[in-house]
Amino acid sequence: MLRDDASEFVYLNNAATSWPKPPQVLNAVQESLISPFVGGGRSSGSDAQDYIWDARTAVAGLLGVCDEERVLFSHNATDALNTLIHGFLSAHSGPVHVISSVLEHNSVLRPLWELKQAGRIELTLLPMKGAYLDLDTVSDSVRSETKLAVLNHGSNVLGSVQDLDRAGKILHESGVYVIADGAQTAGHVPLVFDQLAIDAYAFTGHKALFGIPGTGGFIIKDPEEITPIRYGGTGSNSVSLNHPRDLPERFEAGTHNFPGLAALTAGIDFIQTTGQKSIEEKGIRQSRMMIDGLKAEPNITIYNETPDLPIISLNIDGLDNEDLGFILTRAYRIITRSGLHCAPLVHKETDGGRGSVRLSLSWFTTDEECIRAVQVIREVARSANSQISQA
Amino acid sequence: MRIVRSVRHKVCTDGAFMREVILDAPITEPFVEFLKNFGTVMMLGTMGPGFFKYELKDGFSIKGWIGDTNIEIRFRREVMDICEDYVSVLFYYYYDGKPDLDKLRRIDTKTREQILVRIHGNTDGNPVAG
Repeated sequence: MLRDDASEFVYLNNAATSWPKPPQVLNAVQESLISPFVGGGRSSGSDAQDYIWDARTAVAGLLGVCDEERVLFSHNATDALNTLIHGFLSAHSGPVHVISSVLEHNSVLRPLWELKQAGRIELTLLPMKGAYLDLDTVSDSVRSETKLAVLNHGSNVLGSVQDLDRAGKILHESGVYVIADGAQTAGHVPLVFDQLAIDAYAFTGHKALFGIPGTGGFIIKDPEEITPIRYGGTGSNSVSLNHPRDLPERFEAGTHNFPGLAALTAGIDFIQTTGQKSIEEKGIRQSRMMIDGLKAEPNITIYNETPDLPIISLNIDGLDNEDLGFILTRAYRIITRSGLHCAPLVHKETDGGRGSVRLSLSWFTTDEECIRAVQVIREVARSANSQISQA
Repeated sequence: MRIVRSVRHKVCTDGAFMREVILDAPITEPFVEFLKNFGTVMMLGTMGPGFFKYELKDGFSIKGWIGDTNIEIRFRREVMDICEDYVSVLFYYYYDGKPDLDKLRRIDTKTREQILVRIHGNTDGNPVAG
């Protein structure tokens, strides 16, 4: 079972970046770099592929947006969330109270914390109930100056998917603008954005959408609520020094990531061809199979026994999670993620801030890999009680 | 035993600074036994050649595998300069399993004092009352 016996990696860090990528994603990147670039105002060519618009159409189709113009691209979900949060505050003067939650990733917590420290906003963090946002607290947290809520859709630590439609309906009754962080759910969870009580939804390309790092964006309902915070060349109306306010140029300045967007289109095409339902069901089945196996070992603590996403968070009693991650990688070639997963407040609630080892699966994870990972982690857990010597 | 080169660096979750280093010879069981003189050593004995983790409280930790030349060292940032020198000394003075323990213990005591003064302001390990 040690490293000499293992010839290949078992990759269980898909909640960070999915791997491997479908072959058509790799081909799309290569083809996009071979072909000349053609895009709005950026080339005189006319017969090559429009990677940007193809990606907009693909995202709109998958996430349930009826107009492609309301799909806006950025570098990743963090970048999109920063655009939305800072853009909203730029568009709304005066005191602003913001609601968020302890489930958030630092991509939400840190921008909000900076704004709070600067005195720009007041911040309320909603508590968790089990692995979920405590929806009973939403209504009471709204104040007269509450204008914005930024809420996690899928927890990257606990794999829980929040009922943001219900939260959004409560918040909309008070006119609160709702931004959802969909970094973990885009691709995993079927979504019809236009029918949900959410005003903007941030996504990333390199996780469950099977794209490559460096792509992401957001989908939005009313763009007037968000002021652009970046300005520059758009390849359109170049005679004017004013940055265009129409979509999509309003939020997209500079040259796009052509290879990345070609990969994103191919990744979404892979999801549509494979079937989102099949992907979702396989992930849940394998997660439950792993959890059942891991639970059999008495000194393994699992923090999410019924995840909605294929994510498992665990610790072994008597072993630091960083050490477990190190052992799994170096001895068994099992790639996981250990530590706080950029979500420190979730850990404060679940494991006392100690952090955990996270196993996260993708469509390409095989049952054999799941079984092997369970066997190895159980083996390490049994070893964890051996001698500790003190100088 | 010497550190040949440092191959990867990163800042860890707890703010510690991690260095992955390559040694000129594989870690041996006697070397891990030797480390027990200067800190806490944890070993997972039933896992083949054995994972070990050495820790000097408030200073640094070393983890790796017996038989491997690749180890990971994590330094507490505030005392990294002190600990880096100390790590080199530990490896250098190990020789071929016959280290001068008395000499090393004197260095160890001095190093621990420096760490405590840097972090706590005194050698008791208690924060100085304000």
